[in-house]
Amino acid sequence: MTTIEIAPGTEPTFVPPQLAPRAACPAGHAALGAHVQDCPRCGRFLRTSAVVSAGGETERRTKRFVSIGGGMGSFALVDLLRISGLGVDDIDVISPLAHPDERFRHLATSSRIAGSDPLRSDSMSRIDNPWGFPSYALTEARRHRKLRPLLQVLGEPLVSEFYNPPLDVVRDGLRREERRISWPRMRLDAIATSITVRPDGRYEVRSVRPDGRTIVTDCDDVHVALGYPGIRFSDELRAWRAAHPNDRRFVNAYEPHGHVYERLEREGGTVLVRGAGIVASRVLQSLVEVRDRATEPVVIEHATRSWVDEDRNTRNRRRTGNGVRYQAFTYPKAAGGGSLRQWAGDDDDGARLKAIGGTTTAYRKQWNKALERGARAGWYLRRHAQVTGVRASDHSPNGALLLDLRDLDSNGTNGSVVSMPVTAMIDCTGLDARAGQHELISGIFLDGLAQANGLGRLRTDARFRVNRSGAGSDGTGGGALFASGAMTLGGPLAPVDSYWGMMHAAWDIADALGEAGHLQPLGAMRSVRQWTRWMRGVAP
Amino acid sequence: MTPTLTGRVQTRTLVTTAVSFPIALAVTPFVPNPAQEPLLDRLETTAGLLAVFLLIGLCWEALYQFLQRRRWDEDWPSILGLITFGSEALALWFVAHALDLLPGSTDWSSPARSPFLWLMGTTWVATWLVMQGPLRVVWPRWRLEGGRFLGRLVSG
Repeated sequence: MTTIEIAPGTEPTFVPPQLAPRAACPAGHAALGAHVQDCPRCGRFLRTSAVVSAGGETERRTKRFVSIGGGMGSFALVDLLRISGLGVDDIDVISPLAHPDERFRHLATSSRIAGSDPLRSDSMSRIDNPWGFPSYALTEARRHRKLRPLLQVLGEPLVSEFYNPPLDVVRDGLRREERRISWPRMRLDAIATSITVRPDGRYEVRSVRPDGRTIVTDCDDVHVALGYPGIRFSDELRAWRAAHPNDRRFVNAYEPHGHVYERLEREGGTVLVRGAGIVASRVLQSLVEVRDRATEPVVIEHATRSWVDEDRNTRNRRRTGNGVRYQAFTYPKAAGGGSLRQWAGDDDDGARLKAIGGTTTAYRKQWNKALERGARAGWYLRRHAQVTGVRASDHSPNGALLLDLRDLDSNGTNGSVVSMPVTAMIDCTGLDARAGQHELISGIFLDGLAQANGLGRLRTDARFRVNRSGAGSDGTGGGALFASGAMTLGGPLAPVDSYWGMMHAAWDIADALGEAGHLQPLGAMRSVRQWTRWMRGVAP
Repeated sequence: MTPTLTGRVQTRTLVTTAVSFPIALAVTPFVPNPAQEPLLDRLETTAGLLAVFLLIGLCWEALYQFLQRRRWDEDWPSILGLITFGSEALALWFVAHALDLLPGSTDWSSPARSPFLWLMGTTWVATWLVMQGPLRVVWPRWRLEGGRFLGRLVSG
């Protein structure tokens, strides 16, 4: 277990040495982190310094399809394209990630999801299998030779809680599929810097390798799935890090912060958690486990600015309790492919999407029982309050943080400010969702290749097209720029930032490629044949 | 899979015709036959039952959609697809008697009860199983489009 020094002036030691060199965030903060990490000053996703100082030789290559991002969104699509008939040599996946789940797994494990812990996803939404069959529950049941996952999925959500695949089951499935479709051979270890349309209607993607070399890939169609540009740092955390760059008593839940739990377990103390989402729930679970093990008393304060007594949503009233909304997944199930999908998809300005969205957490009996136990015993305190200031009580890293806390009434105003000393504070304020924070996306906005939707993300049509190149003068070309994943929220599909959404987008994009004549559509017979190859683990 | 009304109608029609019907015919020779009826007559009864089952089924689907719309997340958990066998089989039992498809009375002690339950029960479970997975392989878009085989949920 790595430990962390939090004395001012020393660098945090949780960054493994082999990942330490030369990284910077787009805002220019030099950092130690590796490329899957985020800037400790502002939360933005780090990149290697090669991108900052590109200027080496240029290599040109020609492909049919380029996917930029290389995470889960890229994988879901490229997997389906390979299954639909594109070859290994037809595709470039431009990505700094060694595996499609590298970034996802980093965020998940940082926010305390262990390998055997359930994710917030359902059984049939497989990122490594476009048919969703066999489902994750079936695979898990077969692997561990137990019926429980199957019984759970059978009874969900009426007699059992929803089945959620564990992190490791998702990873194992991905590794198998990565090998099967030769993912490493398609991956170009680089960061894409620009997309342009050529006069002949084809696209040109420029990217920079870690050694500074520039690669220019010319292709028929491009896909962008970059995910979130970083962690959302609250104003307080930003100010805190500017003043105390190496002090990790105040952290965001998506940053590696095991040291907080270690210290609480060793010395006891008070910790304040901010947030009403599922990450806060998971962090609270970890804190309860630490409290139960610790020999010194641990007190958990949980503060949120919002307090929901009753969900006033006109279309879907969600269950509430403890001031938060409960919902198994990020959107109601019917938003993925039922009546709500139709209802929200018919709306262009995103108002309906907002009506069924919002911050929610899953209702899990285990979580609620633990918090009820804590509330009764007095070591879990739930507050409707806003943190207005964070100060260090003294210069000792082992000293307390002094928080200014304003209690709020039901209107979200008023209340007196109290000062509260805590050992640590964990912000569960989510990820940065501003598409323009991605330099690549900001560039295509500026070039007019993409428009922003009502939520400031990429506007897409029903087939996830952001842009059509139009045919060149010789009649060829006619490709499109596609996007999927978190950066397309606000369009016709609500749960874009989920396994279901990425898989759904993959099918829609494959259909669009089929209509453009760039891909042979997967008919019923070929689908069955390809599925049997999937089952046997044979290359598509 | 979360169906819409159009998806339900398409699914019921296509799945009953292409999946349930062949399964029911294949199962028929193996269900109890206390009256010692010839196989051809029994196959004819099966075909009639399935036709009536499809027609009543379309009405059921409208009711299910009405109920589904009242569930908070407008979803239809797959276990409901299993337990609705009870109500559907009961309705079919009465309608089939009214149409003289099944012999004797609608009484619980009727000798036709056991073959009827065996036939419809196995067909129902087998169809349900096909819809839980294999159908998605043959028609991958089905589950994305709210149970439609033709057309899309969101145009464009």
